[in-house]
Amino acid sequence: MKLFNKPRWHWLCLAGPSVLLGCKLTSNDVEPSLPAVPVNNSATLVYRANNQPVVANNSTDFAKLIVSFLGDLRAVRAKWPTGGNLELFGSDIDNQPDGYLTHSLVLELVSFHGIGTYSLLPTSPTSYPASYYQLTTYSSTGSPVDHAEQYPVISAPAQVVITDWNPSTRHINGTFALDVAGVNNLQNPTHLTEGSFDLVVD
Amino acid sequence: MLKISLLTLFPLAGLAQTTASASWGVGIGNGVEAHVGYERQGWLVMSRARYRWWGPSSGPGSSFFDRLYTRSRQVEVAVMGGYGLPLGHALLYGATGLSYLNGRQLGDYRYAVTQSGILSTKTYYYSYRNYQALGLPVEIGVLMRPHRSGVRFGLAFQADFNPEKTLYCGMFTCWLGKFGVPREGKSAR
Repeated sequence: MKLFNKPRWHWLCLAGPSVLLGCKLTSNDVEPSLPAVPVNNSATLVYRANNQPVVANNSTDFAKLIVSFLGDLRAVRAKWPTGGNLELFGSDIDNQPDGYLTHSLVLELVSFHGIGTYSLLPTSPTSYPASYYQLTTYSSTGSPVDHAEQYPVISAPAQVVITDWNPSTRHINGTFALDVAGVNNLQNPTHLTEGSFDLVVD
Repeated sequence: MLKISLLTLFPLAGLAQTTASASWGVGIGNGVEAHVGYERQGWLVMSRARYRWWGPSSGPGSSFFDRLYTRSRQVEVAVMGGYGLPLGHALLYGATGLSYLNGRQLGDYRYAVTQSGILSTKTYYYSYRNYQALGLPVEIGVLMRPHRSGVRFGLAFQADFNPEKTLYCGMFTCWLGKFGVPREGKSAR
């Protein structure tokens, strides 16, 4: 094999890699897409908060079954007294690892009547909006240290679109988008986008 | 002149068998690989294709039992040149060359989804970076005395220096063929 007897082969072997060390060819950053609802056939609410994904879905296990006698601990749920307002609640507290920021969202659909578009804005400047978004931070010991509440911003669109509603099974799904702000970010609202949910209303 | 200096540095080149020999095999350690090698007069040409995967070193999903949507991973295809030095019936070798890398590196944790069960479980989702790069592979290894079956076991310590993700691997290797086997009456001894 003549190749081995040529001195330039040795130089290529030793010098070539050093020259090429540090060569990038391609690189691209990928963000995980939001999961389609429902996740694992459970009640689900997902959205992006300033482009960061937030996912809340219900799950059951033996421990949750035991403590369920103490109260309603479902992370995603909706209540609708017939003829009244529908209140949708979603929190990723069960999804997030211990100590991580958790997100809670309440959407109130005034005079719910099925498929349609609902505004989340207050009907007058003095009325307290029932819809809100809340960030909870935790200490290193796992105790909540702050609950920063934010409310729909009047200057931006804030609506829920119910795309499917079955009055007999009370199964509902829809989409939403809104801007919210609190005392700490009045000039820089949080954008909640790509929102969607799928669950059975109580 | 160059030939004289190389013979001074690598005496095996002038004393080892003149017959070329090829080998192939697999390796397993903190990754898996397939490799081929070719030897002539102590000089080696080697190629390896290695796959390695790993999870986040800390944070959610770092436990062995945690579920991850995806893991960090790297495929390396390397071509190397080197030299083998007989130590008794064993062969000590080193090689370096050029590698192509195709990989994925997990970034920050983003969200988790939960699954129902007796004990509910979670699947963790991370952002990640896909990349392709060229790197500098390095391998130092030792091949043990050939088994009667012709299989030769060994250990290899590998590195791949590159701008994306430098990895270090330790492998138990298995070689088939006559790679580095001294010939009767023509070995360095």
